Amino acid sequence: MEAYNYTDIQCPPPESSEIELCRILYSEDYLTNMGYMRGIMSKNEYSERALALTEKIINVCAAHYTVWEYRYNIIKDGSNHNKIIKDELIWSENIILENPKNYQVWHYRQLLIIELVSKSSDDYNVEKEFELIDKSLIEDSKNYHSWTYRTWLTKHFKLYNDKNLSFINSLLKSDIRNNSAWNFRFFLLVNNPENYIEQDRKSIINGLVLQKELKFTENAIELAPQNQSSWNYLIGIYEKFNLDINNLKGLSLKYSNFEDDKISELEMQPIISSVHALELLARIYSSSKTTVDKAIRAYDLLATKYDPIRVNYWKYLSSSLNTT
Amino acid sequence: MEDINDEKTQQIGYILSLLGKRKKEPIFNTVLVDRDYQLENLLTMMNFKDSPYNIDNDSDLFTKTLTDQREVENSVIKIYKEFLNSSSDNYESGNGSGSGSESEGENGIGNLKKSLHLKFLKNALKPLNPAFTKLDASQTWIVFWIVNSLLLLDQDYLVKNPELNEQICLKIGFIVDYNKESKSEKEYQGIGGGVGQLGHIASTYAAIMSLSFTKRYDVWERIPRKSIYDWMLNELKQKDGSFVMSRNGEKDVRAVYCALTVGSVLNILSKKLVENTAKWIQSCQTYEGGFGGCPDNEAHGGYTYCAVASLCLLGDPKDMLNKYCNLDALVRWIVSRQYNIEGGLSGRTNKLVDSCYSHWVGSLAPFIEIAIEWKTIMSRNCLQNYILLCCQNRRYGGLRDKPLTNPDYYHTNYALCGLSVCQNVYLFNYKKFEESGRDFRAVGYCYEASGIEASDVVERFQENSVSEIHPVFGTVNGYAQEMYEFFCGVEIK
Repeated sequence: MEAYNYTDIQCPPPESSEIELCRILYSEDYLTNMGYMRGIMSKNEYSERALALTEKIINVCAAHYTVWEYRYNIIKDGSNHNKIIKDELIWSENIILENPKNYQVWHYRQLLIIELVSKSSDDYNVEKEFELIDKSLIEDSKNYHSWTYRTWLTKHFKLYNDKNLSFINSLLKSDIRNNSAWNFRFFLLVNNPENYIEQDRKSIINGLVLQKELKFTENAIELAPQNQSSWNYLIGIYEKFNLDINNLKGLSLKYSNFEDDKISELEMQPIISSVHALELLARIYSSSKTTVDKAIRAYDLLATKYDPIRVNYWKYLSSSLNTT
Repeated sequence: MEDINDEKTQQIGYILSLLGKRKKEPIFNTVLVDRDYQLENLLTMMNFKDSPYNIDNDSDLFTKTLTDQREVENSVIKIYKEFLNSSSDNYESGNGSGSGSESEGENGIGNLKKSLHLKFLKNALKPLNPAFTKLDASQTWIVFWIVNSLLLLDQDYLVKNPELNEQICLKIGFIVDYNKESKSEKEYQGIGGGVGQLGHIASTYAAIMSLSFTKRYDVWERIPRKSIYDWMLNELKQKDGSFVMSRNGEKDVRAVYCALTVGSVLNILSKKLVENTAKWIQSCQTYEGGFGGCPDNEAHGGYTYCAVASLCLLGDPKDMLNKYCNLDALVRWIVSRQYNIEGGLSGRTNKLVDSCYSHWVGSLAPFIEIAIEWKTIMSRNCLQNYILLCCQNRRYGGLRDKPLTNPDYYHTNYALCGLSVCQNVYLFNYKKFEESGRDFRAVGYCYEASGIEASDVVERFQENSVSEIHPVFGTVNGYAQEMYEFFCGVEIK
């Protein structure tokens, strides 16, 4: 990094040193740089040396939002705008990979992309952003910040393409319990305009897409019946598209032999391979008067046998059946 | 007691006999001593682990999520089993009197190490080592976490330590004044994370709540309420009803929560400031039932807390939660955060338990319980066991995320908040709210806490009892209200 001269800058004094409470013992270096930074900011100097200074501070405290915002203002102000932003994108990539759980770095990148695209005359390919996001998700497949950025990018530029979905598929293939990937999958399914068809001037989900998605989910449940992510996804789809939850009775029974006649005769416990199947079954039973008794029995099994930590919740659901 | 079945009674009898101790009276006709509850709970949990009903045992498809989960479960099981063994030793050797553990006091392994935690927190009152430079932009937060924790451990801490009270006024007052004086009223940018830093609504929350603890009206009077209001309205508020954290900052439901809580205690909320806000929050609820930081993001404990508490600052909880979210799905998502083996809470589906969610998720229980009119929705005692047994550093004090991690101020504060919610039942005083003319600005001050009965919760030893927390503000009860009432009588200027 080029050495700049800052000695001309008037540094406003930092904190009152009488205050001991939570006073951070900064290094001399940091104190000096922060002093220069305050001086530069107070006169709104947008310069190369100001830019260099923000980097020094960010390297020590990546969450310094004030400095990030100032850096953004410098970049926005600069001449040869597009070149600078492209350099900035390269620079911030490393900062992101070093601080993947930091709000500021990801948001800064979002500001840069908006800036670049809004003023750019050349066609910048925003899909290049996926390379960085993929890289960070391969490191930590549930990093909330990476997913937030991916969601924003996809939505902002309408990138509901197959490449996006195939990345999700690869993540789910390596870990079918990755709920972040399931959540993103839901987002793609619901928001991708290609998944809809026009009928009677109303936009409705394409039946083939829906069937394919339900099949995918059922396969995922088969792989790991106790995985709540896939059950939540399945129920989520049913609710979103107003499908009849009773259609899931067969699937639920597959993972809980609740209706096996021998069981009630011998008063045995049903064999269950998924608590979530039993829960869904209870919900289906609750919807009809003729099966309310079964629902109560299922909730009782959940409360006393299969899922005792939620005993209060199962009792609550069960009691609401008694009263109605 | 009728709902407790025979099997459970037998099990308790078995447990107690195992521990070489039988109570003279029939177990459930009398109130069990606290320690027995703790043991009962742990034994039930440990028995469940190896029972045929624990379906998780059968899972053979190992992926990273499951191996990580098993690792945490095993570290927790180890702690619980050690505790059970040491407790049964105590019983057998006749250590202590009565239940065999009442005399243990703070030395009891399952008890809250109050004096040790106080010591841990007091370290921060001295200068912090250079590693804290990473938190240079979060100084008001460090103060907040520490002082709130101190007050959770000892309600009278600031009364007993007036010099600390003075330090808070100086430290936070300096940050507030600096931005006030260095900018014109028009340019004012809120309270920052440190001296000379850009205003940030989360830093502002931490600063204002910290000042609320001081009860120093002379300092409160210096808070530039009008400027904070203008800043929130003109710089942070978005057309869609949401808020951003700071100028050119990110937009998410944290910003909404901080703006509403700050606005509430300073009594500067207006209809205009919260226009469309409930609707925007509603758009953050996901198909799973929890809320994400922004629309379409994954349901997450921290954001769900911010979303739900924010809705509850815009109207009464029953009304708001029925109107602006799918309440059934929300309840289901919240209770799903508690895990059978650990007893602790996670922040998302298929993620690990972490003590900070004892607050972010645990403190949602009061709102839910009020909205669905059900006294206890989670297993309070199991969560308490997790916090007390798995999250305390017994050597240097402080609370941690989970076993094998290091304590920090953030987790200390939120684990203690969670402990407090376990120990209290909250009611919403509808009459008081009606009397205010259903004024949403008063809604945060209609909550009433009462200690939960011993039969509902383990470990109600005096040593384990922490101060009441306010479910909306996340601070020790009373302070937010006093500040709000103070500003009810002060013109906004």
